[in-house]
Amino acid sequence: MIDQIPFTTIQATAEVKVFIILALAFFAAAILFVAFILISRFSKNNRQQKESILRNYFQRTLNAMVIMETTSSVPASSHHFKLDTLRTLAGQSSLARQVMVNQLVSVKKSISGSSSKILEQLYIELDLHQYSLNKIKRGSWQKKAQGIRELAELGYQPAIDTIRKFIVSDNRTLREESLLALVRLDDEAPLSFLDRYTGTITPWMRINIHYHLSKSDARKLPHFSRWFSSSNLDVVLFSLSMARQFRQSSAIPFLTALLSHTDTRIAGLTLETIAALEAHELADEITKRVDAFWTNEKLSTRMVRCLGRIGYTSEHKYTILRYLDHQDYTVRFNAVEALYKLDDEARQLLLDFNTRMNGILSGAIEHVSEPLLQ
Amino acid sequence: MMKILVCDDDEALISMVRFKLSRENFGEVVKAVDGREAKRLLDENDFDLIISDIHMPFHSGLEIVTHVRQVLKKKTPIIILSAEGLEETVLQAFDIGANDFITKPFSPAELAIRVKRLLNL
Repeated sequence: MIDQIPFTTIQATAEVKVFIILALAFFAAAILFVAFILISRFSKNNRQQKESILRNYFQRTLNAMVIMETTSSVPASSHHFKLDTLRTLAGQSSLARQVMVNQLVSVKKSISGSSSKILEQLYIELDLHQYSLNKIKRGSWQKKAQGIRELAELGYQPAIDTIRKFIVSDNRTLREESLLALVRLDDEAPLSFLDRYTGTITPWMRINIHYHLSKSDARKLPHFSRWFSSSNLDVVLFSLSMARQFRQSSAIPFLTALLSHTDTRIAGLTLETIAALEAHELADEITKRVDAFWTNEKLSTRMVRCLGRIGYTSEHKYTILRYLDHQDYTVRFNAVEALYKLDDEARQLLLDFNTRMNGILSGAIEHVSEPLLQ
Repeated sequence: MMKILVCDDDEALISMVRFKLSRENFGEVVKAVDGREAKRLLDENDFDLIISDIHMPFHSGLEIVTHVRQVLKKKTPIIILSAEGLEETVLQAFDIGANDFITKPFSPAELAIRVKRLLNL
């Protein structure tokens, strides 16, 4: 019987079977995929809904606790009742604890004064600091970083020693978070970690540290010159930049040594710092180093700019004048600008030089004297 | 009864400010979570005071000030809240017609005093 069925028909039937099996498999996969999407969307919505309910509830209680306790005397029993209710809620799930921490952090960013202190107190009274500390001890690096940030935002100072251990972490984010947390938490010596710090200080860290220091009590700022002799070049660059930003004139006597630093970034930043601090007493020291700086265009540019700010004797002005012969155009241009803006004597020196050189610098002089370009 | 508009995209902060102002019996406190909603509410209602953050979705706090002063031609007192206390921003806010400027983080008690002063209470 089978022998009578043409071979092509048997083959076609087999192909149809394979096709049907593939179609069924594809259909089943599609159903599974759609089911997966629906379930994940449902659980996400569910979580968001729970989060929203928790957030609203917690915010209401938080408002009452923070605002009422700073404006009127609230009976201790009322405070304890609210605290117990929140504790029970926090004990129910990690989602509830996380929502509470997020709310405390969010409000703390905008609120200051006694209300802010109440937020810090609540963080401890609700044992949420323990929740953040547990993240540091057991979590992934992301969780650890989150825990460190929460503790820093909510000012939990007893965590300083635990956080300090992450300064040497292999993970860059953890290192950065821990350094920033220490700056925020350690009121007495916010930058003490710099004494032994061997890592890099990224621009992001520098900006954040500067931001926090600028918000803290200026009288408690350390003398940044303390780290000018650090073996970590990043620390030296950072402390120079901070001395300049916070205009620490106490750093001036220590800047001379850095002018001869082998690292040109440090020597360059030192020149910028001297100019920013208007350390006129260092103009002679800079003048002595002309030959050392001459071959480096960047250092030469910074040098003429610096002397253009702090130079006051004829020798200083003649030193800048020498740079009008420099092989690099940027250096020559900066020398023109420095002389033009320094004082009348320096400007006359520049104009005389230009006359002797048949007006070779006229274009640059016109540029620096154009009011619209100032 | 006084009517105050509080505009900020930080709902936690809005909630706390509303609670504080309500506790001080300043009247009805209406919220707007972005610049668009703030503009709509301002077009449809009369407020006795506006408290607005600078950075909000759709329209900034400075745009809200301009809208009130130049489009609606109203003299409603406006307090600007901002996380940045840059001199340039503060000057710009006063220049276009803001009555007060508060830098975040701020004390809710201080805000209440400034509101009271602007409402002449």
